[in-house]
Amino acid sequence: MGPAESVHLRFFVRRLAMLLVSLLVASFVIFAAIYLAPGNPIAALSGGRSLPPDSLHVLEARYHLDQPFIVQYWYWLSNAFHGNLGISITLRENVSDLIASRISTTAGLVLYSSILIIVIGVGLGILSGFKRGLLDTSTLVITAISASLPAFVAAIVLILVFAVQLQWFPSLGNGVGFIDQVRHLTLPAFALAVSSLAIVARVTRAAIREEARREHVQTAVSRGIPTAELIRRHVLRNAAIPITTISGITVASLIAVAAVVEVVFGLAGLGAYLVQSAQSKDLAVVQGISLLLVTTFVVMNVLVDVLYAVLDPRVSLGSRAQ
Amino acid sequence: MNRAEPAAGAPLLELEGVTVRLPVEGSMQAVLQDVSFAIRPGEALGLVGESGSGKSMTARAIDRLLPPGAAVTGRVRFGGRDVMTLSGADLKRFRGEVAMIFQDPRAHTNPVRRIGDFMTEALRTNARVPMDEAARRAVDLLASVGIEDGDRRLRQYPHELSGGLLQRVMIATALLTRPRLLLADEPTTALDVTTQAEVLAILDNLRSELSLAMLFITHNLELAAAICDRTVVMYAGQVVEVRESNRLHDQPLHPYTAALAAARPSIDATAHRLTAIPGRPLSAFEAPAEACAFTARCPYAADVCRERRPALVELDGGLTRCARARELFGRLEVELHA
Amino acid sequence: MNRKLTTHRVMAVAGVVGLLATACGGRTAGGPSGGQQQAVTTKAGTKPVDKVVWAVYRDVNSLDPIFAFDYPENTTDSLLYESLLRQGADGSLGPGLATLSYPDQSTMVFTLKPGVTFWDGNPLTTDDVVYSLNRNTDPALAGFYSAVFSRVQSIAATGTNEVTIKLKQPDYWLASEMGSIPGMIIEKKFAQAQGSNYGTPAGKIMGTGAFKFESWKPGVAVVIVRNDSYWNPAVKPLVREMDIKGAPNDASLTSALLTGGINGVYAQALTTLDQLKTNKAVTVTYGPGWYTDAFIVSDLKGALGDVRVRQALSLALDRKGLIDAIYKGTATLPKWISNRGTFGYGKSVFEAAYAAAPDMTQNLAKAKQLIIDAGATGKSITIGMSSELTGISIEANALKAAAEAIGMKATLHSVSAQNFINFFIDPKARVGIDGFFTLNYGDYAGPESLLATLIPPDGSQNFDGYGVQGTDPQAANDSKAFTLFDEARSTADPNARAQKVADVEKMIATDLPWIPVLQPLIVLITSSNLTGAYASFAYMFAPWADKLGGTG
Repeated sequence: MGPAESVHLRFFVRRLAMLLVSLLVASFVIFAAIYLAPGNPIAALSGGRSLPPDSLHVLEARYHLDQPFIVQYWYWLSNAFHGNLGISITLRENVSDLIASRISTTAGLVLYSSILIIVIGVGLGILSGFKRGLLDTSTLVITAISASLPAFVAAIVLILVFAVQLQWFPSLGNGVGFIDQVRHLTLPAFALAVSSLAIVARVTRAAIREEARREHVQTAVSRGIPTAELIRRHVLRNAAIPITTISGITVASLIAVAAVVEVVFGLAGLGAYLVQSAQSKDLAVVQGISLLLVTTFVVMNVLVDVLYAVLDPRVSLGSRAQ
Repeated sequence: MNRAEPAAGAPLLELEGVTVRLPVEGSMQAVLQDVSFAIRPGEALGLVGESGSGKSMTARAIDRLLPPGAAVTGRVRFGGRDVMTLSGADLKRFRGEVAMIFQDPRAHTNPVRRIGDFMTEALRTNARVPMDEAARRAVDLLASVGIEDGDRRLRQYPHELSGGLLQRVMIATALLTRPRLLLADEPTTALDVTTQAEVLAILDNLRSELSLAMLFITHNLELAAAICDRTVVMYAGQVVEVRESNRLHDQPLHPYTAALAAARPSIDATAHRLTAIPGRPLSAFEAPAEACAFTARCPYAADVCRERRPALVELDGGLTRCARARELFGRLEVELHA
Repeated sequence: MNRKLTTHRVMAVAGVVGLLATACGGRTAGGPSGGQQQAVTTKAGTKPVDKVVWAVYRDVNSLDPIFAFDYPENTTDSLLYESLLRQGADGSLGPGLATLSYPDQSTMVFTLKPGVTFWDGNPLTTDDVVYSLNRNTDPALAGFYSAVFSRVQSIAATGTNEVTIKLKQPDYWLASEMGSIPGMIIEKKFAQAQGSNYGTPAGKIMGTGAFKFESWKPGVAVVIVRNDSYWNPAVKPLVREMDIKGAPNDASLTSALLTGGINGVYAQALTTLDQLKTNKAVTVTYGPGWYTDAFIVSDLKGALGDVRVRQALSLALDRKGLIDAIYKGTATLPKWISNRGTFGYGKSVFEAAYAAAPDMTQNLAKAKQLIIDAGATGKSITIGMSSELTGISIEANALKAAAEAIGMKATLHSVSAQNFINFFIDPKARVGIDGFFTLNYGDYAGPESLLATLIPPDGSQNFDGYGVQGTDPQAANDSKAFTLFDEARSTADPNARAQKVADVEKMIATDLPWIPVLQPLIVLITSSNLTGAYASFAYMFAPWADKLGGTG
């Protein structure tokens, strides 16, 4: 297994290098974009009040806002290199602490949504893949509609029905304690999951149909393999490859879409914080969250690649074959 | 018996007037029409015809692998039992006794499962043979198909094996459940010529060794003649001739057989396909109900051929579905070889 | 001097809010009449309440009063900290942590009340007071209120219970500021121990209020609880815990109010107000606001340099339409730049002068004549706005329509929502525009607190140079207004001071350095089983929840 191991090592080293390059490029681009974007961090800081000149100088010096762009970036980069992501201008606190306090909400939301997507989406896809008829038809119709439903609209509909009318779930905030937090995350998780869930269900259904038609399934039938085994060992197992790919991509994309849902439901998550910080030009926060998201995205991609290679022996790490 | 069965003894497999219809764009279309033949235990029967003639569909009908919605009439008997009504443990046993070898071993093996898993799956799930016992048997059979490093092969995936090797694995796998009948559906067509010969030799040897019956499906008349005792020729979903293989080439009874014999080079020649038969082969459902299906392409077609569909008639120890069979007997091979 | 630039929020959710509205109840037109005075508080609560979730329009950024400059921070800090003097719900100034006396015009002596303690039990000392006031002007801290202390010479303890502020020249506005955010007191020892963490999510705080700080999870809520050892035994809040949290948008706020996820809010220009008014789950109360929606004239070199053009635009503007469109009727027609709600002293003087002033009603004929007189027909103005800010956008279009109705031309110069703030702070952003809209307020109930930013030549919102001799030659009062205004600041007698300020109001209502548009009311929305909160703008500066509690 020597060569295979070194191939794997090379794959991970290459991905790590790619991650570092992505982070560096992303940090520069984001820094530049925020720097060039209209608005003034001091204005956001002071609520637009014309600060006394002395105070203004103190604040500008504190955050190096009086320095040229490249110097500001260098300050940020060298600090980040030492693990110091800087200080939020708005809240005057360490960015890493501020981010850390919000990770669990976003992670919980994305995890909750992912579970919904995988359990309901894949489940529905499998059911309608095997059973033709009313269930299949209604799944097709419902998923066609919900696949194109933006998370934002889904959120409003869910709030209207389940929070305002039925009053089953709260519509705002995080909640305290595990059960309450899950209750508070339920509507957001569904809002976030709806369109992805539909897409995953449809892809799963198509994958099941396609795999069930494969010739090697006929081989198994001709050998008298019982239906349950047949479905598990040959249809589901093989359909797992496209299903994993779409689920991986979908879950990774949830991280980006989560911001919208977090804003609507008033959740203290990273996405909502990113939006808020970008609006107030709180540069260190925007950088910190963006880099975390980039890292997560790259790691998710690596995970999908690894899973893909595990699921499909024809694929070796680093070469996605179709 | 009105059949070309020289020896007595109960047939292992018997098809009687098998007609298969499939739903095509809303209506049922026949793909097999009134197919009848029999295979005795240990006998190798060739099934020859162009693509679309119904060869593979016949095998599928026997093995109950027809697509959903297919309607079957007629009877298939295996060891005296009606195959179409088998279910549960009987069906499972039937499938263990009838093994199928497919044309494209690559497509017919699950790419994500190891060779060992593929080979022993039926043994383990149906016969409850323990894993190591099943693996041992698999290695033995692999050795008998000329694969010596069986242990290593069992750990490999299908994509790691060449086509020829994989087909040998398929053959070994088919034999693993100790079947009484092999359905070999063009088992060598996808292989290169040298490998074809190797695989055929292995198949033929094993079959005689184990005295297995076999339905050998091919479009190559010569190949069928080389391997099989008797050969069934199909055209447009119908059996058009049944004859001793060794006489088929030299003394065909049906103009279609004669045309096939002329079109196909011998097994040793290069594999490029000759299209010596003019016109397009018909599907069963395109065949006229009140005429010989081959009329449109037959150089001997006469008015009598267009009046009604000819029945299978006995002639010179074989069967043929040709209205002018007697008239043409002895002339066909001469003219085509001229 | 405090001011808020704009609170019209991005209405990206407008369509969805409509969805909520139509699904949850009918719309009713109109709002409360602005004619009569509204009550400044709601009926005191009678039942204890364990927990109240109070919404602010965004998350709290700081719990350090020197950085409290906007609704969320003010709303929170007024419950946690107390100022030296205190504004009542009606805006009247009285004793707070101290009483004030003037030995002479340039000396303010604050005598601390006995028995005042911080939450940790430590007594309030003169050290705490001097420290807290001086923090406002410490350049290293860069607090937002240093300009308030521009006439202060020194702040020192002059006795065990006495702190004396020496003034460079008399300043009768500083007293009111001491009853607002700049006068809030924190504990010196505690704050020094916290260092730069004071008032941030990483640190803790120490005040004297009837509610004390419990926890702050950024993005979630600031949690404050009743201070059961509050120094004033007469005050016993009924609410045990209050969570102050940012409500992300109108749709979320509305659904949370209806479902009990949020129990109260001081709302502004809420798009779903009509829906809430008719819903039994909440009670909507209107009270006097202290703010003004106005068009700031930022350039006197263009067409607006002629006072007649400004007057004509003011006459042509459809203010009633704007009150309905933006505030659903919960705003009043202005007579002056300052809101009538700000008459916290010299009330009878202000009220008399105000009653005599004409309403700013629409009169197109008069407006057209003024444009003809000024020879401004066909001249063009450029209005700075942001199409992403619904209220601002509606106002800008209304002004454009007004200009066009009287024979002028108008161009809208739109910037992004975030960029809108640059009109206030970046002179380059103001190049090429004649003015822009704002919602503004002062630190306390006194018209001068807003006027101080726009009348003095160095006022932070005097963008056009009004009051500088010769800049606005046609304006009748020009520099006269500033002279009178400066006199008022040094006038000891409240009524005499009020008269001077009223006279200034009258002058600028004609000169129009800003064109007042409308004056919003306070819109207090609570769960229907809650009552007792202030219904006036004083909630921004004084403990507004002492009597908040359950109904009957």
